[in-house]
Amino acid sequence: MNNNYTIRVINVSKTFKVASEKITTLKSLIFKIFAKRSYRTIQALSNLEFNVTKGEIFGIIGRNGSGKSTLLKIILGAIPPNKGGEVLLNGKIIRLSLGIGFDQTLTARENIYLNGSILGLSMKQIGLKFKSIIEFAELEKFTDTKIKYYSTGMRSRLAFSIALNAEADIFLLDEFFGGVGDLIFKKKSAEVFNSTILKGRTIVLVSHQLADISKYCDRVLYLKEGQMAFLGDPKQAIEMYKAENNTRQKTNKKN
Amino acid sequence: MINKVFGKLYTKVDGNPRLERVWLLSKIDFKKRYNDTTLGLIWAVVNPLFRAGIYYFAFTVIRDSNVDNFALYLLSGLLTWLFFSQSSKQSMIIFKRSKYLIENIRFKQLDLFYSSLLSTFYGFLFSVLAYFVLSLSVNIIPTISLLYLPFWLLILAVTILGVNLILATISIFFTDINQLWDLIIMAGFWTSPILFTAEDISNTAPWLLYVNPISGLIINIRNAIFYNIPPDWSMGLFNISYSVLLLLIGLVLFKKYSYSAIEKI
Repeated sequence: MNNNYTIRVINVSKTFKVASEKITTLKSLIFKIFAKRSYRTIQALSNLEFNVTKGEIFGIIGRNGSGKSTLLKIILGAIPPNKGGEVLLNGKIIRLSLGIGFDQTLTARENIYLNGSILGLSMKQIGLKFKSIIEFAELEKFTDTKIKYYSTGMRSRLAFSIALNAEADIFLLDEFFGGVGDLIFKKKSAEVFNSTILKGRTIVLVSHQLADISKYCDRVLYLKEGQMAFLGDPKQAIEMYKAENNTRQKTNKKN
Repeated sequence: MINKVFGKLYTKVDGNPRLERVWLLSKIDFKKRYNDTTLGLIWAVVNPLFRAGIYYFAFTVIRDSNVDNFALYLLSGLLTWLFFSQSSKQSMIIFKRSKYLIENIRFKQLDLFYSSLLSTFYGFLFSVLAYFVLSLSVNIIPTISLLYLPFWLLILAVTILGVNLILATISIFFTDINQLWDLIIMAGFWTSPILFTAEDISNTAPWLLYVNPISGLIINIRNAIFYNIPPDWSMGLFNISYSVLLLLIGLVLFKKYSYSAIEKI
């Protein structure tokens, strides 16, 4: 196969087994040990198979609970897929979602070093990039402020700037641009998508902002109850998604 | 004070990123534990000394101990034990505490365990310094046998790492391990040669020294820094194999199950 892929998702399914009564304590274990345990299984993802090529902006849309975030976590490796499934990666990967990814009790400086180091940079490399990280995030005055005093917008800027400067190859953006009222951040993100900063990097964009999806994405995966309903042209994907929403609304009204 | 030590993150040397990561994580871990308190680092020394003071009081004033320099005898064992108990208690919250990293970046999670162990080790080093100050003040001067100390500390570290990995894996599936471990730690403390002598224990229940992987290490660390005599190799060899075994079990469990930690926690 071609070596151009950065993400290869091979036969990925995910079933969550939810015990009707959760047994994590000794007490419940003792009481339930002889009782027949009943499980409810939730099929979060079924048999997904696709490649994301290098430099592509790849969108994922779907209703809440359609498996978008689960898929991102599996791609990242934070949770495993079912047996038989596999995700191959080609490059340094980072997931960005709103307001997380930082230790709240540490300052921006410490968090930059921490995240950079986890991403595989040496202290020297981080030191060299430090200034541009802070400058891009426009946080010069708040370098030694603890993250817990940051606004959501400031955090998002910092996270994005770290990922950019630490030269992550694959960005998983999980509702990252949604709902932030931060003007600098909005300006920044538009700037980034329109410029060459992202050149050669692979972006997976999960968003409810359909305008962003149609504007930036090269291909879109439309997930419906954990299954691949469509993969390809953004406009077509968005139309199918809108159609689903419309029929849902109609049936809801009937009920 | 801690800020001064850790303020300088930038280095001019291009180091190994993975080693630097473990180093950085351990520093942050250590800093977080003490930095928000007014007295900071002093707690790392005061806590074990205070505990030792209470046990000393109980065992000399209330019950007559027949060991010479009992305070030092006690402290040498207690420090070793506290290193083990503190580190193992922390291991059960490593996944939970590092969730924000694991969920967002792919990296070797074993590094979290190295750094957690290292950060407890810093506190241990400070209290060992306090021990030597006391030791010199009563004219017990370390001899050549002190050279064995690093070796036994290494075996201790391997043992603790193994136990930590096992505990962390269990804690993914069974949250009661936290409470259970508290009890085991208490039982371990009262059956180790910390307050009692190894002879006391081997006279009544010699198997106790072999069940607890830390007992033999307490004996040998004490030989190195308090009695200033060569190691008890029969105990030592047992501990070496114990530590390797625990680490192997820990690594196998970790490799097999750590993958699902985030999903369950």
